[in-house]
Amino acid sequence: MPKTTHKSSPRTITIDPVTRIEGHAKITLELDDSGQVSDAMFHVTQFRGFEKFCEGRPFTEMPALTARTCGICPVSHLMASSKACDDLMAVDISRTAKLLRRLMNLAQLTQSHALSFFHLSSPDMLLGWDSDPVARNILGVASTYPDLARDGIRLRQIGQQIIEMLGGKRVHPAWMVGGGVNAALTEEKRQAMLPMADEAFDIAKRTLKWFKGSLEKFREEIRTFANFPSLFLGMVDKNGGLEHYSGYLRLIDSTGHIVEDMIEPSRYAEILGEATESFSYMKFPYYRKAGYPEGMYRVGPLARLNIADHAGTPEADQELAEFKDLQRGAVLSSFQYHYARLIEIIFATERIKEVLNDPDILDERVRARARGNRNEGIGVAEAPRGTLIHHYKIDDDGQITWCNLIIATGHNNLAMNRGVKQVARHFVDGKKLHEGMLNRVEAVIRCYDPCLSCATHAWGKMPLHIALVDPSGNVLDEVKRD
Amino acid sequence: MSVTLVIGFGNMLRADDAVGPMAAERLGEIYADQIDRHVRVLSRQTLTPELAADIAEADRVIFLDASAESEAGEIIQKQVSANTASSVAMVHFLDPQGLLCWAKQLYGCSPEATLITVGGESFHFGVRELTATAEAALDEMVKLARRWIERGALLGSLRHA
Repeated sequence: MPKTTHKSSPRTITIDPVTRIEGHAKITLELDDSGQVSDAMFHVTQFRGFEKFCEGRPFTEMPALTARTCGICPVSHLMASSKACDDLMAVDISRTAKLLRRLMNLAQLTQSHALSFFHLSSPDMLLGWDSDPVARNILGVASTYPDLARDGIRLRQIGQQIIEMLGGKRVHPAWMVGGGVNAALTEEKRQAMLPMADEAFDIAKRTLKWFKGSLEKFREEIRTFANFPSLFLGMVDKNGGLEHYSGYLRLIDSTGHIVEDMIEPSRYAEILGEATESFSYMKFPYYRKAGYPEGMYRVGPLARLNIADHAGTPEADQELAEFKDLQRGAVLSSFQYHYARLIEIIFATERIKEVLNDPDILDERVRARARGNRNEGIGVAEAPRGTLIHHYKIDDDGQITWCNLIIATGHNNLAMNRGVKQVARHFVDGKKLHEGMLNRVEAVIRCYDPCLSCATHAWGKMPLHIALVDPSGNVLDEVKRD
Repeated sequence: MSVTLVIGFGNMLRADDAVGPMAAERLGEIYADQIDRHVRVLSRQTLTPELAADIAEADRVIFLDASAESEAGEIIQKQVSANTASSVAMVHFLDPQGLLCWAKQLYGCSPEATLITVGGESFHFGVRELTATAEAALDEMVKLARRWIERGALLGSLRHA
């Protein structure tokens, strides 16, 4: 049922829920006396509680438990959690196990980015931000751009099939564990995956070609969608290259100047703090030395490409170089997250082939076994949406006594709030609402591809009813979506 | 040769919600050694848009699921078809009608489709086994599915004769 929002204050617009994102959120826009947006807040409205209810569980359960945080990016949690368990066990896993974990993560990157670009964001880009909301979805895209819609389906299918071939199922595969993975790769599966990587590469290439050719159409959105200076955080390898599995934390500012570099991920708490606000269940991480909220930073594809000196695969290197030419210093517009995602898919498909052709990939020594040998373990990896941190403490029996999860999307919380405010100020006229204005406010959130399910829970239909009321409670204007 | 796609879906950690995947698992074992691969069996937690590509390669589709709306243990079979009024725009929650709509829109296909459900008695979280009621209905669900599959295979072979 559509939800009617009548505010006691007439100077507030509420967008509830925000649509075509992963998770459940609402946006509140505060208006000044002239009816223009003066402030905005992005509220994450549900509470998950993983950090609390994992206490008392054996640490060996944590990969499977935390994977249930999300159905879109469970592999990310499996990976960060398994790495934290490796740390607790004090093991250095085999090279083959690292390759296999990396392989699944690259497949996950492919399918997750495909979901974000094709299913959640392409309807706006292809059909227009002001188009009929009834048709402004992937099926609307399918009727007008069937090839692109099918490409999106196939790209996601490929990523999921690789995950399933490695881990036995597409969602919550119980394959990554502390000490490595629980099954080696067979030659038969390796041979099946190779042409899939080629096919995914071709899809990503032609999609990126279309996107670059369309950038001119998106000039206003590029200019206004969360386009502001900020820090950028992510992981790089020891040579400063693009990295998703294991590396070092790097933080740069908007000019491209490196602020923190080659930080061991286990030392994350030295540079990152977490704040809370009363209007949201999602925490607000910040860069400690800059304080809160000045220490705002962004993570995810845009950040990773900004901080990396190079990608490390042929095609992705070329595309990254072209991407960095968009702007001197860091690329600042959050609209370019879409561009960055497509480059990362190209990188992932190229790297998948490299991994599959590695001479050690079929080795059967994929799991180290040990009990808990430390009382504290930290695992950090790059999820599709950004840096993901799992930090556990256990007692001498191996039971979790404390758990801290810093979810990728959480890092972007401050930036999302600021982005909503910027877009709302530019597009929303409080005296006269139309649906396209509000869709743009939602669209800036979609740039970040938030996985609010990782911090919240979301299910269900997405009705929308916005009402603008005067001090007497009279409805001045409203927009509805069933 | 007529190809039948079997999709059993449900949450294996929610008691009777697992009846669809469990039925699919049994069918997978029954048809494991088929030479002509006229039956393809998939087991999923939920229906997702990517299954539209699998449906596009099939002539007939059978969905297996639990139902929270029918009586516990009650088995219902009904024909299903593409329905644009279903939750078709949701990318992580679809029903069979919505998924068939995706397949029609994207691939222009409209296979014959049926849905067999077993009424669930319990959907409690964290329960990894069926209730006795659902367990008793599982055999009948598999038999119904096999009958429908074999009828389609027979009709398909007659058409090609």
